[in-house]
Amino acid sequence: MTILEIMERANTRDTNLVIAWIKDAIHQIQSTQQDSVVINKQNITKAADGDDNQYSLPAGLISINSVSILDTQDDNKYKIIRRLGFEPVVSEDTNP
Amino acid sequence: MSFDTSNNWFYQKKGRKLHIFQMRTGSMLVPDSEGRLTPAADELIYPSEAITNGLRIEYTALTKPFIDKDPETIVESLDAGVDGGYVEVTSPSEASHVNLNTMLSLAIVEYIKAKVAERRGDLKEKEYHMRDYYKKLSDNESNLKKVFITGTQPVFALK
Repeated sequence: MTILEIMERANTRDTNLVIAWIKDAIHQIQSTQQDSVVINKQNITKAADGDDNQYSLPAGLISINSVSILDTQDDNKYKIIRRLGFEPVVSEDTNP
Repeated sequence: MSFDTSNNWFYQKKGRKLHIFQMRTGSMLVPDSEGRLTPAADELIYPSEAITNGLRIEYTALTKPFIDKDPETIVESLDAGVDGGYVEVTSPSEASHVNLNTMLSLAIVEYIKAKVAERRGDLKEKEYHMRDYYKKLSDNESNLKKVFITGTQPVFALK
């Protein structure tokens, strides 16, 4: 359906405003449904200091479906990992 | 060499960052400096190895909201720009297509009607159109599923 057809059905003439509302609606649809699923892969680096376990979330992310880690000993399968339900104890030991 | 990653790795989401932890299992086999076999508890550590493309995030995103062709008349090509596929329109006009199927496009019509009513200050009409909006969203979901329900026939049932 074109933007013009949507505007005619909704009986409005403000094109820019309708485009903004369409983006809002798609954003809301993607929050609750999985209409457009995207995959992002990142390299895991061996941690050397205090923030090396942090990885940036991809741009444009609306909701996370799953997070997986590559299992190199099981035929390189990505296996879904669990969300940590508590705050871990952090020990900043520089000479373990 | 990562192994049994579904049980040994965990994540936390904090703002725009994903924090990754690895479980290190404790052992009683290694004695300490004084020769005592003290039990070591399981502990979470930061990633202890480098894994190429090791982290995979599956997510929903606002990708290609406007395109140049009707998405229901063609099959999307995975390679952008290939003939037969559609191309994203970065500066949409009235002739651009919304990258959604007909039912979701009709849901968006209801959403826009609700927004127009809200701007007029007619909250009752806004609620009416938002209810239709959510109804069409749920219709779109249920259209993709078929549920078969069967019941047992009573032994002495008369037909």
